Amino acid sequence: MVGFIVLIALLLIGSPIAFAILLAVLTHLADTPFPISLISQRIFAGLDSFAILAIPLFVLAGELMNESGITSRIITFAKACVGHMRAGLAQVNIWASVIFAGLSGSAVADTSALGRIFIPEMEKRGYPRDFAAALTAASSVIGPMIPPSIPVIIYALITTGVSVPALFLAGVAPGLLLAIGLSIYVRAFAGHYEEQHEPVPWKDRFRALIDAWVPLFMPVFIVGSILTGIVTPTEAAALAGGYALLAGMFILKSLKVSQLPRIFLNAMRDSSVILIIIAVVSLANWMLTFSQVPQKVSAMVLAEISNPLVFLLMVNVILLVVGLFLEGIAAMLILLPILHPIAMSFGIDPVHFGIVVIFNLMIGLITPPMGICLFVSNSIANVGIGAISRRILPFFAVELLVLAIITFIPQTVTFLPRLFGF
Amino acid sequence: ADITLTLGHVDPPEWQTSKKGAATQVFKQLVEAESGGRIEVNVYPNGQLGGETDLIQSAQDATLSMAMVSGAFSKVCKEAAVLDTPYLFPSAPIAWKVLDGQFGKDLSQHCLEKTGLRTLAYGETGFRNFTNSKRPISEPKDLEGLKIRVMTVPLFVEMVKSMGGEPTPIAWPEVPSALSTGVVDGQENPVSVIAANKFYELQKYITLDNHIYGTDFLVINEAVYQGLEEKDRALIQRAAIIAGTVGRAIQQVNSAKGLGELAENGMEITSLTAEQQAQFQAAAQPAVVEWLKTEIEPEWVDKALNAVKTASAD
Amino acid sequence: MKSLFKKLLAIATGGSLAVVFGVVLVSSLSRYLLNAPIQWSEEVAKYAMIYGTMFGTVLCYMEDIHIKFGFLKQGLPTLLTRILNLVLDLITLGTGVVLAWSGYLFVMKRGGIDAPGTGLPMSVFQSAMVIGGVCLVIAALFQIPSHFKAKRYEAEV
Ligand code: NA
Ligand code: NA
Repeated sequence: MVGFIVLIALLLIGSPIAFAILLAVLTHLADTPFPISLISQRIFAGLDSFAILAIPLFVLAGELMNESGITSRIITFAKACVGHMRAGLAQVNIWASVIFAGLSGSAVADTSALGRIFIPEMEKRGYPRDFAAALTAASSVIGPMIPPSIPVIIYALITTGVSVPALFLAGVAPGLLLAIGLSIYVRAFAGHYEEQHEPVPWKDRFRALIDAWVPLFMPVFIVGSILTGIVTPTEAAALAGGYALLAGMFILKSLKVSQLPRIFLNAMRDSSVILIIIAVVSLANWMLTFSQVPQKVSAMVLAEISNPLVFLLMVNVILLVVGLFLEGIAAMLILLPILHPIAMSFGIDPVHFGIVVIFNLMIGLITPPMGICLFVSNSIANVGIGAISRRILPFFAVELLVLAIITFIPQTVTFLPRLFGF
Repeated sequence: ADITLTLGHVDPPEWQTSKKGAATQVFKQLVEAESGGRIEVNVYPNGQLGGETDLIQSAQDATLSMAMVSGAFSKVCKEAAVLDTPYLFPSAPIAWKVLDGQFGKDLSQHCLEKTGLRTLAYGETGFRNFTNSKRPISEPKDLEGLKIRVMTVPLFVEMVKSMGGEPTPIAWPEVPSALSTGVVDGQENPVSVIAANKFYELQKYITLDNHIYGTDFLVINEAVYQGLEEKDRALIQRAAIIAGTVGRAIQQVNSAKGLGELAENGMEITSLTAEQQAQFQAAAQPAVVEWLKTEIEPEWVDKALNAVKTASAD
Repeated sequence: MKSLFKKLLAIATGGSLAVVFGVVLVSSLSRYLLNAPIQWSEEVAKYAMIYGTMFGTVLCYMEDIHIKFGFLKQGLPTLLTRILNLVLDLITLGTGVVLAWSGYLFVMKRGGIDAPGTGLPMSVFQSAMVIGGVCLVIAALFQIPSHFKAKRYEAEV
């Protein structure tokens, strides 16, 4: 109990979550028979896994791709395909996010890479700046749904036994549904901002496709190599990094050796933000499991709720509220060890449950007061969190609708992995 | 409850399919009921509190009171690796006799002095057997040129090497993909594990050569044990032996059922004649024994071999 | 001094990932193309990542990019914010001390077993906890004096 109070107090004054959990566990240690060495022991054990290596390696692959200046080719290709539709540039923003999602495992990378280009350009074409910023943040939620995906790797880690390739496949349809949803919305409500123009000739579209084959091939390569069972997700992540490195240096010829130290540093530094939370959460979970807290909570929930749909609805509400205040991956790490076993005792498909949880928490990235994509987008657009938040409301509604669809029609999530025999 | 004992293992909790699950459930029920609720036993299955090495070390430093582990025990008490000598035990009943007899007591005493962990009872994970996708194996030379997946454990590498196979250490989660893509031709595991993981979909041949008998160790931290009253110690000792026996029984049930499953799913099963078995023993045992003697106190190897001889003669 | 420390941390952080990347890439290629798995690769990669995480954590603290509930501090008076920032650095100092001390006990207790792949004692890898803790303490000690300096500066103005 003291530990819990310390945790809340430290979080409220703005301590890094990782440090707050560590110190909360320390104060709780006094009530247990355990020695202080337990802290380091569990932190070490929490990271001592071959599967976790996929996280920094996928971040590295994304960073290498991004630094290769691949973004402009993605945008050119997206323009050639959808630029002529109503609200053309907004469509390009959305579909460029879809392609970008195949390179990067996180939504934040998507917001910052695409935002820098789209926010000024959309404003030039007549869109309000805050609208452009909101759309960029909203569409970046597609990033972690389409493989590769850091949240998926983490979900598979927490819930041993759920296969990464199945989850990767399962995220594709929700990611595309979201893109379609946003696309329909801007077509209906943002068409007046921009004058519509002629479709690009097929010859030029084909050229753009050729120019964009490097990024387009990456997700195929990653998912393909894992699906055929040739490599584990960790090895696939390393191969993706190798692919990005070679493509950047020899095919795109835009990556220089002198850039590499910075790229490796940034990738590891950004990963360690997540990894250290994984580590301390595994410490806290060990404590909770030892005190049989998840078992007790699970028994309580099962006694109160009997319908799996009601449970899923409840999970969605809890996660949406938590997502308002907490970064998605951190929230997943903290809540899943308790929610997942309950979902399993309801007989919910673990792949379906995983994608619903991830989608839900990724929506949290665009909701104030704590929405990292919102912050990143605002740091580019400089229009104020309030202005973006108002503009993001309709997009948020679209995302809730998609969430409802994938929650209550499990087939939208599971048909693709089923198709591949999972 | 006045006393709470914590007990961790890495297997699933279900008693029907999991030997450690069955053993620990029985232990919990017996101790809690017979102590009239004075002693509570909290079991943590599925590696909830850590992997095998982690659990055994946790029991050593009293983070946990008890653990039920198999291979990891020899990481803290090297001499226990003597039980992994290839073709040491000709059958499971002989293994039970040896482990429940003087040799088992001596080993338990030795490991207690070395690690502060008291072995309350021995269970079993079962005899390990070779499977492969290439050909039936009935003598050691059939293994020549076959790439066999082994655990990252030096003894297993030595053993496969000495039989003429090509040992390939691969982490457990990657084994199915390694088998299906032909990175390795075969692997070795107890029948129950082979059946539970549906390796019959990936492997055609199995040889019941029983090369290594896997032992489970139900251990308790000695300080925790000595902290109990005399009658509670007796209760716990008694319950542990019943638990170990139940673990062995469940393992045997799943092994027998598993063998039927392998046959049903089209695996070709090769049983060895006494002469063939002797050939395997002659190929693998001396090399591993020699290697073992450089790793552990050599007398333990001879002690084990003699104990088996005596038990077989009865 | 502080910039030298940060530079060393940056090299160690980036270098760890370079090791992870190189080892995993080479070992998977070696297994699938040359059919020769490397026994020590998994251990080296995992433990390089753990070292990298510890160094990266210190670096993230110095660059203020850890995940936290930052919005709650918005709109507080400057003095209060300043005091809070000092408290946060003290919290980090405490975290570093706890990590280093518990890491030391951990290594003493469990460092003896050899890692199966490399044959090195586990203490070599487990020491990442101690080193990470010490680096965090050093980093906090670099940050703490800045609050007092800044305060005096304000008073002079
Ligand atoms: Na992605
Ligand atoms: Na949010």
